Amino acid sequence: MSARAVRRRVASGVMSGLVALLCFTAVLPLLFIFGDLIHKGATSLDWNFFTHSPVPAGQTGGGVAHAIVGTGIVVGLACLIGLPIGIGAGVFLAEYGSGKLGWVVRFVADVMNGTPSIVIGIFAWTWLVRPVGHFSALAGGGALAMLMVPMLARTTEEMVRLVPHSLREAALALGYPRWRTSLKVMVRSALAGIVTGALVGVARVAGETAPLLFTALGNLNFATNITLPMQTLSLQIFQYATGPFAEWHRLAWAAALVLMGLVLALSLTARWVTRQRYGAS
Amino acid sequence: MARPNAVVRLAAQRLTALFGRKVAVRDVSLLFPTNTVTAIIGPSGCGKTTFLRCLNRMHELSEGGWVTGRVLLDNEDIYGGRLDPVDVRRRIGMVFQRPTPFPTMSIFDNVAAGLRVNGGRSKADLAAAVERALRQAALWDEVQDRLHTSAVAFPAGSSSGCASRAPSRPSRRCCCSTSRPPRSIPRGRSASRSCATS
Repeated sequence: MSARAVRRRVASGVMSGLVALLCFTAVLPLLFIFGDLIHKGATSLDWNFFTHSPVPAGQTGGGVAHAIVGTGIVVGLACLIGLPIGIGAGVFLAEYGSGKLGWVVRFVADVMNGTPSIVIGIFAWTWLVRPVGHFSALAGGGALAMLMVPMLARTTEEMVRLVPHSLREAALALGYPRWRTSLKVMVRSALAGIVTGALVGVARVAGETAPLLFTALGNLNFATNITLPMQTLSLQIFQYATGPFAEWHRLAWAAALVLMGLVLALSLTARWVTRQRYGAS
Repeated sequence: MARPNAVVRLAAQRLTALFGRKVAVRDVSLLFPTNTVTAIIGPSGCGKTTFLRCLNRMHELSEGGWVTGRVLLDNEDIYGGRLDPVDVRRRIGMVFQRPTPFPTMSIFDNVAAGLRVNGGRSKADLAAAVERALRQAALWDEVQDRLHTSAVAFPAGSSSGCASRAPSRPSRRCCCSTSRPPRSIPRGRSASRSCATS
C-alpha cells in the first residue's frame, strides 16, 4: 500500500471514530434521563398509581389518574383547536402562500415558534382566563393550541412542498381544478408527513408546563369539566417536585416516567406512520 | 404537409412563450389538422416542450411563464379569456416526458383520474374505459389482478422498460381519447411523445 493510501485510511478511521464519539455524547443525556427516571420512578409504578387520585399529603398510596386523564383532555382540546388551524395554515402557505399574505403568515408563524411558552401562557391568561374569571382546562387547551399552530403550519408547509412538482402538473394537465389538485393530490401525497408532524407537535405540547400554570392551573382531584381547573402530568410533576414531602417526590418521578413514556410512544407512532407510508405503499 | 381540405381544429398563431423577460419560443404559427400526427423535433432545450405546454395552458404554471399570440381550439382562442384554463386542459390532454403516477391512488384510480374529474360516469362505464385504456397500452394482462393496489408498487422493469411508465400513460391516454370533443388530443400527445424521443 502506498503512503498516500495509508494516510487516507488513517484519516478516515480517525474521523469516523470522532464522529461516533460525538454522536454517543449527544445521546448520552437521553440515556441518563431515562436511567434516572426508571431508577427513581419505576418502583412507584403500580396499579394504584394509574387508577387512583392522590391521597392527602403525608399518607402513602394514591396515584395520578386525574393527571393522566387531565393530560388527555387538555391535549385533546389543544388538538381540537390547533390541528385544523395549523394544518390549514400550512396547506395555505404551501399552495397559495407565494404572495404578500403568505410572507406575513410565514413570518408570524416563525416568530410564534420562537416565542417562549411562558409568554404564550401569560397571553392565554390575559385573554382566556381573566375575562372568564377563573382557570380552566379549556384555557389550557387554548394555550397549547397556540403553541402547536405555528409548528404545525411550518411542518405541514414543508411536507406539502416536498411533493414533487410533476405531480401537481400531472393533475392540472388532466383538468383538475386548483383546489382539487391541492387536496386530492398534494395534501394526500403529503399526508404521512403531515400526520407525523402533527404527532410530533402533540408530543411536544404534551410535556409543556409553563403555559398551563397560568391556564389549567392544576387540580388535586379528579375532574372532567373542561370549564374548571384541571391537572395534567406536567403540572403534577411541577407541584410534587417542588413540594416538601418525600412521598410527593417519589410520585413526581413516577409521573415523569409516565409522561416520558407517553411522549416516547407518540414519537414512535410518528415514526411508524412514516415507515408505513414509505415502506409499504 | 396537411391535405388542403383538412379540418384544422387546433392552431397556433404567432405564439411567443416567455419566462419573465426571456423569450423561450418566438413567433410560432402552426396548424394541426384533424387525424394527423404532427412531430416537433429539435435539439435539447430548443423549446419543444414549452411550445406544447402553451397549447393547453400549462406554460403559465411555470415560474414566470406567460404567452403572447393566439392558440385557436375550434376557432376559439384559448387565451382569449372566455375559456377556463381548467376546461382547456380537459379538452387537450398531455403526456409528459416522465410518467407521474399519483402515489396515493391505485392503478385503477390513476387510469380513471382523468375521467372522474369530468364527472357523470357510471361505475361500469368507468371500469370499461379503464380496461380499454389498459388494453390499448398492452398492460391489461399484467395489471388486471392488482388494479386496486398502489400504482407506485408497480414493479419497474418487468416486461420492457415501459412497465414503470404504465400507470400514468393509460391515464392520460384514457383522458385524451374520451374527452368530450375528442380527437384533437392524439395529435398533442403524439407530438409530445416524439418530442420525448427526438
